[in-house]
Amino acid sequence: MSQNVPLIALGPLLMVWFGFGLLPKMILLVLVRFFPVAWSMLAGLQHAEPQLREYLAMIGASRRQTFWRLELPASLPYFFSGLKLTAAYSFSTAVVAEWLGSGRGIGYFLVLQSRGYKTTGVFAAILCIVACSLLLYGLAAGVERIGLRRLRPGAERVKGGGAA
Amino acid sequence: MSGLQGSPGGSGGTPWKLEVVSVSKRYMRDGKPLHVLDRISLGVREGEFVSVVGPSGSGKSTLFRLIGGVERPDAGSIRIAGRDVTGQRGHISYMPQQPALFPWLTVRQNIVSALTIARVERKRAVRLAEEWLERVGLGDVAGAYPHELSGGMQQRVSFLRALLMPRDVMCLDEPFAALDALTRTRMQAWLLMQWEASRRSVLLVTHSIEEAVLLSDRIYVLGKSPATVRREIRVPFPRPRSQDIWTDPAFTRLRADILALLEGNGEHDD
Repeated sequence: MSQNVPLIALGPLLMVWFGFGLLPKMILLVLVRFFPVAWSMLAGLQHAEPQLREYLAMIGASRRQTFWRLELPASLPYFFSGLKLTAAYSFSTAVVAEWLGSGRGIGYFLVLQSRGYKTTGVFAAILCIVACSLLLYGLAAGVERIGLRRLRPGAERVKGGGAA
Repeated sequence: MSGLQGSPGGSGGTPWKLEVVSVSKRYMRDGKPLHVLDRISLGVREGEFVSVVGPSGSGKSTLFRLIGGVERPDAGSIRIAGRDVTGQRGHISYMPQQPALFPWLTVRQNIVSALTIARVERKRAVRLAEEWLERVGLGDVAGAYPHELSGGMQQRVSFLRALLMPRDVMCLDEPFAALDALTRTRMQAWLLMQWEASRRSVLLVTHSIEEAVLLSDRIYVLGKSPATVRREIRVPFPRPRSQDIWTDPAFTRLRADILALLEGNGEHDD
């Protein structure tokens, strides 16, 4: 849901407030990543298996016990899937943030090359961006695999990412 | 109001473990009041196996939710081991229709986790789980995950988990309803054996008359909406029992009686 809101539009505003350094870009990236992951985790908390919830209620588990034993483990797949989904998206956000206002970085380089009609440079930049995005996605997918195997062994993976 | 009179320690010698005293419950559904339970009174004595039989939709699950303290009755009270626990949780152990095992925990961890909720110290819980899994022939699957087990095996684990919780009453909510006929018959024999060895106080809700007669000391037959106790029946077969009683003429007669009560042509309320 929140991924449909173009947070990137906040970019110029953040530049005005925080200058052209690293800070506004970091803020933008945090915004872009935090909300989708948080939303999908919240969805996961609510989707915790209802018959397990009922079981815990019947045997008198407290709210805290219900959270630690059911809700948190049940929402972990949503957390990891949110992480994976935002991985590539965060890279493209970083690139755009750089071409909005920066003196260096791959986004800045891309804009510079395209203004000079240097097709070779543009292609090189595109290749770099694609490779980095895929790398980040692969990294997130790996973290998901290992994380789920460690934290919820035996459980099959939940498909899709809730709020994505 | 049939059945149970008076308070614990009263007439019958063995004390009541669970008493449901004149409990009523109503819901609002689509703006209309729905009367689910009407002055239900029933009880389970120490070491007694009691069943509640009723047609589907007769509010059996609601009854359990009230006993478990997940909901409050509109009138009446729930007493466990002589104390009024109406609306309080954490006094029963519970075996639901679906095994309700945590998929990310092994069989052993599932049992330990439930026991620690019942304030059993962790080390003791682990020891108990190991010991009993071995004793009921599930030792091999202690380290397996629930999805690796068959439905029947999962229900055995679920039963063991309920059995080991140090609570006064075990509530079994149609535990075999989701199993196929053959597995179901096997599970009933298994449960009978386990229960006769442990003699816990059990309240079983079921819609299977055969199951109720095979397993119980007493049966409460519920009528339909709002559910009332139609009759309380003492099951005459001696213990230890086996499924051989299914061919006993007395069994057939008892089953026919209960069936007649359920179908509603038996309005003998005392």
